[in-house]
Amino acid sequence: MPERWLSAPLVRATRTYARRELQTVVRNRFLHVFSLIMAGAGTLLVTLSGSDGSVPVALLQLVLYVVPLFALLMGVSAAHEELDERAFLFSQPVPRVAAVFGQWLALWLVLGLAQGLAVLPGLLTGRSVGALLQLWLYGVLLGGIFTAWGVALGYRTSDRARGVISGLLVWFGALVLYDLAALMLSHVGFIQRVPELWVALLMVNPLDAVRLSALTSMQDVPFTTPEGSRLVEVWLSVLPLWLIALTGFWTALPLWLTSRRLDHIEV
Amino acid sequence: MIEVEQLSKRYGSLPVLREVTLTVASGQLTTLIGTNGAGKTTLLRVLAGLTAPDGGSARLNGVDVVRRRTEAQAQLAFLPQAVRFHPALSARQLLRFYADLRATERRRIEPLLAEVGLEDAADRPSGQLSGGMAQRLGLALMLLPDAPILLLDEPGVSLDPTWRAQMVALLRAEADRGKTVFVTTHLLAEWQPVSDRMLRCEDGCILDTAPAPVPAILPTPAPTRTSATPPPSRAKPSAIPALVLCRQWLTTRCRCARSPEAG
Repeated sequence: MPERWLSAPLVRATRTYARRELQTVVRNRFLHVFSLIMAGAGTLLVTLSGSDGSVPVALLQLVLYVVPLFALLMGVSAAHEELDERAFLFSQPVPRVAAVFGQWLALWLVLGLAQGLAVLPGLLTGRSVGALLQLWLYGVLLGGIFTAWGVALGYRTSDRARGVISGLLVWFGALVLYDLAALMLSHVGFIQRVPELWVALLMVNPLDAVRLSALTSMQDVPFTTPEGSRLVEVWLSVLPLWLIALTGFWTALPLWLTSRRLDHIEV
Repeated sequence: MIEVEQLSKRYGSLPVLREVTLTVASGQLTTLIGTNGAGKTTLLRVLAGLTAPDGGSARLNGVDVVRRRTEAQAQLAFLPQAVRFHPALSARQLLRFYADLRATERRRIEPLLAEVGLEDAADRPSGQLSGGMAQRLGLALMLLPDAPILLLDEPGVSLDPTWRAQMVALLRAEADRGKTVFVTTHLLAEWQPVSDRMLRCEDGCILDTAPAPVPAILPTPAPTRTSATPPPSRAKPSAIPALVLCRQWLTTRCRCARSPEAG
Protein backbone atom coordinates (compact mmCIF):
# COMPACT_ATOMS: atom_id res chain seq x y z
CA MET A 1 0.00 0.00 0.00
CA PRO A 2 1.54 3.34 -0.97
CA GLU A 3 2.83 5.34 1.95
CA ARG A 4 0.74 8.36 1.07
CA TRP A 5 -2.41 6.30 1.63
CA LEU A 6 -1.60 6.10 5.27
CA SER A 7 -0.57 9.73 5.55
CA ALA A 8 -2.35 11.84 8.12
CA PRO A 9 -4.30 13.99 5.62
CA LEU A 10 -5.79 10.86 4.09
CA VAL A 11 -6.84 9.49 7.46
CA ARG A 12 -8.35 12.84 8.49
CA ALA A 13 -10.17 13.24 5.20
CA THR A 14 -11.47 9.66 5.34
CA ARG A 15 -12.81 10.28 8.83
CA THR A 16 -14.48 13.48 7.67
CA TYR A 17 -16.10 11.78 4.70
CA ALA A 18 -17.24 8.88 6.89
CA ARG A 19 -18.85 11.30 9.33
CA ARG A 20 -20.65 13.03 6.49
CA GLU A 21 -21.87 9.70 5.14
CA LEU A 22 -23.19 8.73 8.56
CA GLN A 23 -25.15 12.01 8.60
CA THR A 24 -26.73 11.35 5.23
CA VAL A 25 -27.21 7.59 5.16
CA VAL A 26 -30.06 7.80 7.67
CA ARG A 27 -32.28 9.06 4.85
CA ASN A 28 -31.22 6.32 2.43
CA ARG A 29 -34.37 4.42 1.46
CA PHE A 30 -32.45 1.24 0.79
CA LEU A 31 -31.29 1.33 4.39
CA HIS A 32 -34.87 1.81 5.61
CA VAL A 33 -36.13 -1.16 3.60
CA PHE A 34 -33.14 -3.29 4.58
CA SER A 35 -33.63 -2.54 8.28
CA LEU A 36 -37.33 -3.41 8.02
CA ILE A 37 -36.58 -6.70 6.29
CA MET A 38 -33.93 -7.60 8.84
CA ALA A 39 -36.06 -6.72 11.86
CA GLY A 40 -39.19 -8.30 10.42
CA ALA A 41 -37.52 -11.53 9.34
CA GLY A 42 -35.64 -11.89 12.61
CA THR A 43 -38.81 -11.45 14.65
CA LEU A 44 -40.94 -13.69 12.45
CA LEU A 45 -38.41 -16.51 12.40
CA VAL A 46 -38.03 -16.51 16.16
CA THR A 47 -41.81 -16.39 16.62
CA LEU A 48 -42.74 -19.04 14.07
CA SER A 49 -39.83 -21.47 14.09
CA GLY A 50 -40.31 -24.80 15.82
CA SER A 51 -36.73 -25.66 16.66
CA ASP A 52 -33.79 -23.56 17.80
CA GLY A 53 -31.57 -24.74 14.97
CA SER A 54 -33.89 -23.67 12.20
CA VAL A 55 -33.56 -19.95 12.96
CA PRO A 56 -29.87 -19.58 11.97
CA VAL A 57 -30.36 -21.73 8.87
CA ALA A 58 -33.25 -19.57 7.69
CA LEU A 59 -31.33 -16.40 8.52
CA LEU A 60 -28.39 -17.70 6.51
CA GLN A 61 -30.51 -17.40 3.37
CA LEU A 62 -31.26 -13.81 4.34
CA VAL A 63 -27.56 -13.09 4.76
CA LEU A 64 -26.70 -14.69 1.44
CA TYR A 65 -29.45 -13.12 -0.64
CA VAL A 66 -30.46 -9.85 0.98
CA VAL A 67 -27.24 -8.46 2.48
CA PRO A 68 -25.22 -8.40 -0.78
CA LEU A 69 -28.14 -6.90 -2.69
CA PHE A 70 -28.71 -4.02 -0.29
CA ALA A 71 -24.99 -3.46 0.26
CA LEU A 72 -24.58 -3.00 -3.49
CA LEU A 73 -27.60 -0.72 -3.80
CA MET A 74 -26.62 1.42 -0.83
CA GLY A 75 -23.07 1.79 -2.12
CA VAL A 76 -24.26 2.83 -5.57
CA SER A 77 -26.81 5.21 -4.08
CA ALA A 78 -24.29 6.85 -1.73
CA ALA A 79 -21.81 7.48 -4.54
CA HIS A 80 -24.50 8.95 -6.76
CA GLU A 81 -25.70 11.36 -4.08
CA GLU A 82 -22.37 13.18 -4.53
CA LEU A 83 -22.53 13.39 -8.31
CA ASP A 84 -23.61 17.04 -8.57
CA GLU A 85 -21.10 18.07 -5.92
CA ARG A 86 -18.18 16.08 -7.25
CA ALA A 87 -16.41 18.95 -9.02
CA PHE A 88 -16.47 20.98 -5.82
CA LEU A 89 -15.46 17.98 -3.69
CA PHE A 90 -12.57 16.97 -5.90
CA SER A 91 -11.21 20.50 -6.08
CA GLN A 92 -10.45 20.24 -2.37
CA PRO A 93 -6.83 19.53 -1.43
CA VAL A 94 -7.37 16.01 -0.16
CA PRO A 95 -6.77 12.65 -1.87
CA ARG A 96 -9.85 11.70 -3.86
CA VAL A 97 -9.70 8.17 -2.56
CA ALA A 98 -10.70 9.50 0.88
CA ALA A 99 -14.25 9.92 -0.45
CA VAL A 100 -14.40 6.24 -1.41
CA PHE A 101 -12.85 5.00 1.83
CA GLY A 102 -15.01 7.24 3.97
CA GLN A 103 -18.25 6.26 2.30
CA TRP A 104 -17.40 2.60 2.35
CA LEU A 105 -16.46 2.63 6.04
CA ALA A 106 -19.64 4.46 7.07
CA LEU A 107 -21.89 2.24 4.98
CA TRP A 108 -20.21 -0.91 6.24
CA LEU A 109 -20.71 0.20 9.81
CA VAL A 110 -24.36 1.09 9.31
CA LEU A 111 -25.09 -2.08 7.36
CA GLY A 112 -23.43 -4.16 10.06
CA LEU A 113 -25.55 -2.53 12.73
CA ALA A 114 -28.73 -2.97 10.70
CA GLN A 115 -27.96 -6.67 10.28
CA GLY A 116 -27.98 -6.91 14.04
CA LEU A 117 -31.74 -6.36 13.85
CA ALA A 118 -32.12 -9.80 12.28
CA VAL A 119 -30.26 -11.68 15.02
CA LEU A 120 -31.39 -9.50 17.92
CA PRO A 121 -34.74 -11.27 18.54
CA GLY A 122 -32.97 -14.63 18.62
CA LEU A 123 -30.29 -13.31 20.95
CA LEU A 124 -32.91 -11.80 23.28
CA THR A 125 -34.69 -15.12 23.55
CA GLY A 126 -31.39 -16.90 24.09
CA ARG A 127 -31.83 -19.30 21.18
CA SER A 128 -28.77 -20.48 19.21
CA VAL A 129 -26.72 -17.55 20.43
CA GLY A 130 -23.41 -18.83 19.10
CA ALA A 131 -24.77 -19.64 15.66
CA LEU A 132 -26.55 -16.30 15.43
CA LEU A 133 -23.42 -14.35 16.31
CA GLN A 134 -21.47 -16.35 13.78
CA LEU A 135 -24.13 -15.58 11.21
CA TRP A 136 -23.98 -11.90 12.03
CA LEU A 137 -20.22 -11.95 11.50
CA TYR A 138 -20.67 -13.63 8.12
CA GLY A 139 -23.14 -10.92 7.21
CA VAL A 140 -20.72 -8.20 8.28
CA LEU A 141 -17.99 -9.70 6.10
CA LEU A 142 -20.29 -9.92 3.08
CA GLY A 143 -21.56 -6.41 3.80
CA GLY A 144 -17.99 -5.08 3.64
CA ILE A 145 -17.31 -6.75 0.30
CA PHE A 146 -20.50 -5.78 -1.46
CA THR A 147 -20.59 -2.24 -0.07
CA ALA A 148 -17.13 -1.72 -1.56
CA TRP A 149 -18.36 -3.01 -4.93
CA GLY A 150 -21.45 -0.84 -4.67
CA VAL A 151 -19.44 2.32 -4.00
CA ALA A 152 -17.07 1.37 -6.82
CA LEU A 153 -19.98 0.91 -9.22
CA GLY A 154 -21.45 4.21 -8.07
CA TYR A 155 -18.24 6.03 -8.97
CA ARG A 156 -17.96 4.10 -12.20
CA THR A 157 -21.44 4.89 -13.53
CA SER A 158 -22.67 8.32 -14.51
CA ASP A 159 -26.35 7.99 -13.67
CA ARG A 160 -28.40 6.33 -10.99
CA ALA A 161 -30.28 3.91 -13.27
CA ARG A 162 -27.08 2.49 -14.73
CA GLY A 163 -25.59 2.23 -11.27
CA VAL A 164 -28.55 0.30 -9.91
CA ILE A 165 -28.65 -2.00 -12.94
CA SER A 166 -24.91 -2.67 -12.58
CA GLY A 167 -25.45 -3.46 -8.91
CA LEU A 168 -28.24 -5.90 -9.71
CA LEU A 169 -26.08 -7.58 -12.36
CA VAL A 170 -23.18 -8.03 -9.95
CA TRP A 171 -25.55 -9.45 -7.33
CA PHE A 172 -27.16 -11.86 -9.81
CA GLY A 173 -23.78 -12.83 -11.20
CA ALA A 174 -22.21 -13.56 -7.83
CA LEU A 175 -25.25 -15.37 -6.46
CA VAL A 176 -26.64 -17.27 -9.43
CA LEU A 177 -24.55 -17.10 -12.61
CA TYR A 178 -21.31 -18.01 -10.86
CA ASP A 179 -22.81 -21.15 -9.36
CA LEU A 180 -24.47 -22.07 -12.64
CA ALA A 181 -21.12 -21.79 -14.36
CA ALA A 182 -19.52 -23.88 -11.62
CA LEU A 183 -22.21 -26.54 -12.01
CA MET A 184 -21.66 -26.68 -15.74
CA LEU A 185 -17.92 -26.92 -15.25
CA SER A 186 -18.40 -29.81 -12.86
CA HIS A 187 -19.32 -31.97 -15.86
CA VAL A 188 -16.09 -31.21 -17.65
CA GLY A 189 -13.72 -34.16 -17.61
CA PHE A 190 -10.70 -32.17 -16.52
CA ILE A 191 -12.53 -30.70 -13.53
CA GLN A 192 -13.81 -34.15 -12.55
CA ARG A 193 -10.25 -35.48 -12.53
CA VAL A 194 -9.13 -32.60 -10.27
CA PRO A 195 -12.03 -32.01 -7.84
CA GLU A 196 -9.92 -29.59 -5.79
CA LEU A 197 -10.15 -27.18 -8.67
CA TRP A 198 -13.92 -27.20 -8.48
CA VAL A 199 -13.84 -26.71 -4.72
CA ALA A 200 -11.38 -23.87 -5.24
CA LEU A 201 -13.83 -22.26 -7.65
CA LEU A 202 -16.46 -22.24 -4.93
CA MET A 203 -14.14 -21.10 -2.22
CA VAL A 204 -13.01 -17.96 -4.06
CA ASN A 205 -16.59 -16.72 -4.33
CA PRO A 206 -17.32 -15.13 -0.95
CA LEU A 207 -21.00 -16.11 -1.10
CA ASP A 208 -20.19 -19.77 -1.69
CA ALA A 209 -17.42 -19.67 0.88
CA VAL A 210 -19.83 -18.31 3.50
CA ARG A 211 -22.49 -20.83 2.50
CA LEU A 212 -20.07 -23.75 2.81
CA SER A 213 -18.63 -22.42 6.05
CA ALA A 214 -22.08 -21.98 7.56
CA LEU A 215 -23.23 -25.43 6.48
CA THR A 216 -20.17 -27.16 7.86
CA SER A 217 -20.17 -25.25 11.13
CA MET A 218 -23.85 -24.72 11.91
CA GLN A 219 -25.31 -27.92 10.55
CA ASP A 220 -22.29 -30.17 10.87
CA VAL A 221 -22.57 -31.08 7.19
CA PRO A 222 -19.45 -33.05 6.26
CA PHE A 223 -17.44 -31.31 3.57
CA THR A 224 -15.79 -34.02 1.54
CA THR A 225 -14.84 -34.70 -2.01
CA PRO A 226 -15.37 -38.22 -3.48
CA GLU A 227 -11.78 -39.31 -2.94
CA GLY A 228 -10.96 -37.02 -0.06
CA SER A 229 -8.76 -34.04 -0.60
CA ARG A 230 -5.81 -32.60 1.20
CA LEU A 231 -6.81 -29.12 0.01
CA VAL A 232 -10.29 -29.41 1.49
CA GLU A 233 -8.85 -30.55 4.80
CA VAL A 234 -6.52 -27.56 4.87
CA TRP A 235 -9.39 -25.26 4.02
CA LEU A 236 -11.57 -26.62 6.74
CA SER A 237 -8.82 -26.15 9.29
CA VAL A 238 -8.29 -22.48 8.39
CA LEU A 239 -11.82 -21.58 7.38
CA PRO A 240 -12.24 -18.41 9.50
CA LEU A 241 -8.87 -17.10 8.36
CA TRP A 242 -9.74 -17.94 4.77
CA LEU A 243 -12.97 -15.98 5.02
CA ILE A 244 -11.18 -12.96 6.45
CA ALA A 245 -8.52 -13.11 3.75
CA LEU A 246 -11.18 -13.50 1.07
CA THR A 247 -13.07 -10.53 2.46
CA GLY A 248 -9.89 -8.49 2.50
CA PHE A 249 -9.15 -9.32 -1.11
CA TRP A 250 -12.64 -8.79 -2.53
CA THR A 251 -13.02 -5.55 -0.56
CA ALA A 252 -9.61 -4.13 -1.38
CA LEU A 253 -9.93 -4.90 -5.09
CA PRO A 254 -12.84 -2.53 -5.91
CA LEU A 255 -11.51 0.14 -3.54
CA TRP A 256 -8.09 -0.01 -5.16
CA LEU A 257 -9.51 0.03 -8.69
CA THR A 258 -11.73 2.98 -7.84
CA SER A 259 -8.92 4.92 -6.20
CA ARG A 260 -6.73 4.40 -9.27
CA ARG A 261 -9.53 5.51 -11.55
CA LEU A 262 -10.43 8.56 -9.47
CA ASP A 263 -6.81 9.70 -9.50
CA HIS A 264 -6.97 10.09 -13.27
CA ILE A 265 -10.63 10.74 -13.91
CA GLU A 266 -11.73 14.05 -15.42
CA VAL A 267 -14.49 15.45 -13.25
CA MET B 1 -0.48 34.14 -8.84
CA ILE B 2 -1.59 31.93 -11.70
CA GLU B 3 0.93 31.07 -14.39
CA VAL B 4 -0.16 29.15 -17.45
CA GLU B 5 2.25 28.20 -20.23
CA GLN B 6 1.42 26.65 -23.58
CA LEU B 7 -1.56 24.87 -22.05
CA SER B 8 -3.52 22.71 -24.45
CA LYS B 9 -6.44 20.39 -24.07
CA ARG B 10 -8.47 18.34 -26.54
CA TYR B 11 -11.69 16.45 -26.10
CA GLY B 12 -11.31 13.72 -28.70
CA SER B 13 -10.33 15.46 -31.89
CA LEU B 14 -11.74 18.80 -30.74
CA PRO B 15 -9.15 21.23 -29.42
CA VAL B 16 -10.58 23.16 -26.46
CA LEU B 17 -7.46 24.99 -25.29
CA ARG B 18 -4.78 25.92 -27.82
CA GLU B 19 -1.40 26.55 -26.22
CA VAL B 20 -2.76 29.11 -23.82
CA THR B 21 -0.20 31.28 -22.09
CA LEU B 22 -1.38 33.53 -19.33
CA THR B 23 -0.35 35.16 -16.08
CA VAL B 24 -2.83 36.36 -13.48
CA ALA B 25 -1.24 38.47 -10.80
CA SER B 26 -1.99 38.38 -7.08
CA GLY B 27 -4.20 41.11 -5.70
CA GLN B 28 -6.09 41.43 -8.95
CA LEU B 29 -9.56 40.59 -10.06
CA THR B 30 -9.29 39.19 -13.55
CA THR B 31 -12.34 38.46 -15.64
CA LEU B 32 -12.42 36.03 -18.53
CA ILE B 33 -15.21 36.42 -21.01
CA GLY B 34 -16.08 34.45 -24.07
CA THR B 35 -18.79 32.64 -25.94
CA ASN B 36 -20.14 29.25 -24.94
CA GLY B 37 -17.66 26.50 -25.76
CA ALA B 38 -14.75 28.92 -26.03
CA GLY B 39 -12.75 27.01 -23.41
CA LYS B 40 -13.30 29.16 -20.29
CA THR B 41 -14.65 26.39 -18.11
CA THR B 42 -12.02 23.91 -19.28
CA LEU B 43 -9.27 26.38 -18.37
CA LEU B 44 -10.70 26.77 -14.86
CA ARG B 45 -11.11 23.01 -14.47
CA VAL B 46 -7.50 22.46 -15.42
CA LEU B 47 -6.43 25.07 -12.88
CA ALA B 48 -8.65 23.44 -10.24
CA GLY B 49 -7.03 20.04 -10.83
CA LEU B 50 -10.21 18.48 -12.17
CA THR B 51 -9.02 17.98 -15.73
CA ALA B 52 -5.55 17.06 -16.89
CA PRO B 53 -4.13 19.10 -19.76
CA ASP B 54 -2.70 17.42 -22.82
CA GLY B 55 0.28 19.73 -22.88
CA GLY B 56 1.84 22.74 -21.25
CA SER B 57 1.86 23.62 -17.60
CA ALA B 58 -0.12 25.54 -15.01
CA ARG B 59 1.16 26.75 -11.66
CA LEU B 60 -0.71 28.21 -8.73
CA ASN B 61 1.61 30.31 -6.56
CA GLY B 62 4.47 28.35 -8.06
CA VAL B 63 2.96 24.88 -7.47
CA ASP B 64 2.45 22.76 -10.57
CA VAL B 65 -1.19 21.73 -10.91
CA VAL B 66 -0.48 18.45 -12.70
CA ARG B 67 2.58 17.18 -10.84
CA ARG B 68 1.55 18.32 -7.35
CA ARG B 69 -2.21 18.43 -7.63
CA THR B 70 -3.14 18.29 -3.97
CA GLU B 71 -0.58 20.93 -3.00
CA ALA B 72 -1.78 23.16 -5.82
CA GLN B 73 -5.39 22.68 -4.73
CA ALA B 74 -4.44 23.90 -1.26
CA GLN B 75 -3.76 27.27 -2.92
CA LEU B 76 -7.23 27.61 -4.40
CA ALA B 77 -10.93 27.60 -3.86
CA PHE B 78 -13.04 26.80 -6.90
CA LEU B 79 -16.72 27.50 -7.39
CA PRO B 80 -18.02 25.49 -10.35
CA GLN B 81 -20.87 26.66 -12.50
CA ALA B 82 -24.32 25.83 -11.05
CA VAL B 83 -22.94 23.62 -8.29
CA ARG B 84 -25.42 21.61 -6.20
CA PHE B 85 -24.63 20.11 -2.84
CA HIS B 86 -25.81 16.99 -1.05
CA PRO B 87 -29.55 17.63 -0.73
CA ALA B 88 -29.83 16.17 2.77
CA LEU B 89 -27.12 18.31 4.34
CA SER B 90 -27.83 21.79 5.62
CA ALA B 91 -25.69 24.83 4.88
CA ARG B 92 -24.19 24.65 8.36
CA GLN B 93 -23.42 20.92 8.06
CA LEU B 94 -21.80 21.48 4.67
CA LEU B 95 -19.68 24.33 5.99
CA ARG B 96 -18.58 22.17 8.91
CA PHE B 97 -17.77 19.30 6.58
CA TYR B 98 -15.61 21.43 4.29
CA ALA B 99 -13.98 23.16 7.26
CA ASP B 100 -12.96 19.76 8.63
CA LEU B 101 -11.91 18.52 5.21
CA ARG B 102 -9.53 21.45 4.73
CA ALA B 103 -8.59 21.67 8.40
CA THR B 104 -10.03 25.18 8.56
CA GLU B 105 -11.25 26.62 11.82
CA ARG B 106 -14.98 26.32 12.29
CA ARG B 107 -15.24 29.80 13.80
CA ARG B 108 -15.37 31.26 10.28
CA ILE B 109 -18.68 29.52 9.62
CA GLU B 110 -21.13 31.81 11.39
CA PRO B 111 -19.70 35.09 9.99
CA LEU B 112 -19.75 33.58 6.52
CA LEU B 113 -23.37 32.49 6.87
CA ALA B 114 -24.21 36.05 7.87
CA GLU B 115 -22.18 37.47 5.01
CA VAL B 116 -24.12 35.53 2.41
CA GLY B 117 -27.45 36.04 4.17
CA LEU B 118 -28.10 32.41 5.05
CA GLU B 119 -28.29 32.63 8.86
CA ASP B 120 -32.02 31.88 8.85
CA ALA B 121 -31.71 29.05 6.35
CA ALA B 122 -28.52 27.58 7.81
CA ASP B 123 -30.19 24.45 9.13
CA ARG B 124 -32.46 23.82 6.16
CA PRO B 125 -31.43 20.90 3.90
CA SER B 126 -29.59 22.31 0.92
CA GLY B 127 -32.01 20.47 -1.37
CA GLN B 128 -34.72 22.83 -0.15
CA LEU B 129 -32.76 26.01 -0.90
CA SER B 130 -33.63 28.14 -3.91
CA GLY B 131 -31.15 28.41 -6.77
CA GLY B 132 -29.93 31.76 -5.55
CA MET B 133 -29.53 30.58 -1.97
CA ALA B 134 -27.60 27.53 -3.18
CA GLN B 135 -25.25 29.84 -5.06
CA ARG B 136 -24.74 31.96 -1.97
CA LEU B 137 -23.99 28.77 -0.07
CA GLY B 138 -21.44 27.91 -2.76
CA LEU B 139 -19.88 31.32 -2.32
CA ALA B 140 -19.65 30.82 1.45
CA LEU B 141 -18.09 27.39 0.96
CA MET B 142 -15.59 28.86 -1.46
CA LEU B 143 -14.60 31.66 0.90
CA LEU B 144 -14.39 29.34 3.93
CA PRO B 145 -10.78 28.14 3.58
CA ASP B 146 -9.46 31.68 2.95
CA ALA B 147 -7.50 30.35 -0.03
CA PRO B 148 -5.12 32.77 -1.79
CA ILE B 149 -6.54 31.99 -5.24
CA LEU B 150 -10.26 32.09 -6.02
CA LEU B 151 -11.59 30.59 -9.24
CA LEU B 152 -15.23 31.17 -10.13
CA ASP B 153 -17.00 29.77 -13.16
CA GLU B 154 -19.87 32.03 -14.17
CA PRO B 155 -20.81 32.91 -10.61
CA GLY B 156 -24.08 34.50 -9.63
CA VAL B 157 -26.13 33.41 -12.62
CA SER B 158 -29.12 32.53 -10.42
CA LEU B 159 -28.68 35.50 -8.10
CA ASP B 160 -30.92 38.53 -8.12
CA PRO B 161 -29.24 41.85 -9.05
CA THR B 162 -28.84 42.91 -5.42
CA TRP B 163 -27.04 39.75 -4.37
CA ARG B 164 -25.04 39.73 -7.59
CA ALA B 165 -23.82 43.22 -6.80
CA GLN B 166 -22.92 42.13 -3.28
CA MET B 167 -21.06 39.11 -4.60
CA VAL B 168 -19.09 41.26 -7.05
CA ALA B 169 -18.23 43.68 -4.25
CA LEU B 170 -17.22 40.81 -1.99
CA LEU B 171 -14.85 39.39 -4.57
CA ARG B 172 -13.44 42.84 -5.30
CA ALA B 173 -12.70 43.13 -1.58
CA GLU B 174 -10.99 39.73 -1.62
CA ALA B 175 -8.75 40.92 -4.46
CA ASP B 176 -7.98 44.07 -2.49
CA ARG B 177 -6.87 41.81 0.36
CA GLY B 178 -4.20 40.45 -1.97
CA LYS B 179 -5.96 37.42 -3.34
CA THR B 180 -5.93 36.30 -6.94
CA VAL B 181 -9.52 36.31 -8.16
CA PHE B 182 -10.17 34.77 -11.57
CA VAL B 183 -13.75 34.83 -12.84
CA THR B 184 -15.38 33.62 -16.03
CA THR B 185 -18.62 35.35 -16.93
CA HIS B 186 -21.02 36.53 -19.58
CA LEU B 187 -22.15 39.48 -17.44
CA LEU B 188 -19.72 42.02 -18.83
CA ALA B 189 -21.46 45.10 -17.54
CA GLU B 190 -21.33 43.90 -13.96
CA TRP B 191 -17.77 42.69 -13.87
CA GLN B 192 -15.91 45.16 -16.04
CA PRO B 193 -16.14 48.12 -13.64
CA VAL B 194 -14.53 46.17 -10.82
CA SER B 195 -12.08 44.12 -12.85
CA ASP B 196 -8.42 44.98 -12.95
CA ARG B 197 -8.10 43.10 -16.17
CA MET B 198 -10.42 41.66 -18.79
CA LEU B 199 -9.37 38.68 -20.86
CA ARG B 200 -11.22 37.13 -23.74
CA CYS B 201 -11.36 33.47 -24.56
CA GLU B 202 -12.30 32.47 -28.07
CA ASP B 203 -11.87 29.14 -29.75
CA GLY B 204 -9.45 27.91 -27.10
CA CYS B 205 -7.22 30.98 -27.14
CA ILE B 206 -6.84 33.78 -24.62
CA LEU B 207 -6.88 37.07 -26.44
CA ASP B 208 -5.67 40.56 -25.75
CA THR B 209 -6.28 42.22 -22.46
CA ALA B 210 -7.36 45.60 -23.71
CA PRO B 211 -10.79 46.38 -22.34
CA ALA B 212 -13.31 47.37 -24.91
CA PRO B 213 -16.23 49.69 -24.45
CA VAL B 214 -19.15 47.60 -23.38
CA PRO B 215 -22.75 48.65 -23.64
CA ALA B 216 -24.43 48.90 -20.26
CA ILE B 217 -26.89 46.12 -20.79
CA LEU B 218 -27.70 45.15 -17.26
CA PRO B 219 -27.96 47.27 -14.13
CA THR B 220 -24.45 47.73 -12.85
CA PRO B 221 -23.75 47.69 -9.13
CA ALA B 222 -21.80 50.56 -7.67
CA PRO B 223 -18.15 49.52 -7.95
CA THR B 224 -16.31 49.33 -4.66
CA ARG B 225 -13.07 50.36 -6.28
CA THR B 226 -12.05 52.17 -9.38
CA SER B 227 -11.01 49.71 -12.02
CA ALA B 228 -7.45 49.74 -13.21
CA THR B 229 -8.77 49.64 -16.73
CA PRO B 230 -10.40 52.60 -18.43
CA PRO B 231 -14.08 52.86 -17.60
CA PRO B 232 -16.42 51.55 -20.24
CA SER B 233 -18.56 53.91 -22.21
CA ARG B 234 -22.14 53.86 -21.03
CA ALA B 235 -24.51 53.40 -23.88
CA LYS B 236 -28.21 53.62 -23.34
CA PRO B 237 -29.95 50.32 -22.66
CA SER B 238 -30.68 48.75 -25.95
CA ALA B 239 -33.65 46.80 -27.10
CA ILE B 240 -31.28 44.17 -28.48
CA PRO B 241 -30.93 41.24 -26.06
CA ALA B 242 -27.83 41.26 -23.94
CA LEU B 243 -26.38 38.07 -25.28
CA VAL B 244 -26.62 39.26 -28.86
CA LEU B 245 -24.69 42.39 -27.96
CA CYS B 246 -22.03 40.39 -26.15
CA ARG B 247 -21.73 38.03 -29.05
CA GLN B 248 -21.34 40.90 -31.52
CA TRP B 249 -18.74 42.52 -29.34
CA LEU B 250 -16.74 39.32 -29.08
CA THR B 251 -16.91 38.21 -32.67
CA THR B 252 -15.90 41.57 -34.06
CA ARG B 253 -12.83 41.84 -31.87
CA CYS B 254 -11.38 38.33 -31.89
CA ARG B 255 -7.94 37.82 -33.33
CA CYS B 256 -7.31 34.38 -31.95
CA ALA B 257 -4.62 33.01 -34.16
CA ARG B 258 -2.64 36.25 -34.23
CA SER B 259 -2.36 36.87 -30.53
CA PRO B 260 -2.13 33.59 -28.65
CA GLU B 261 -0.49 35.10 -25.61
CA ALA B 262 -1.95 37.29 -22.99
CA GLY B 263 -0.36 38.27 -19.77
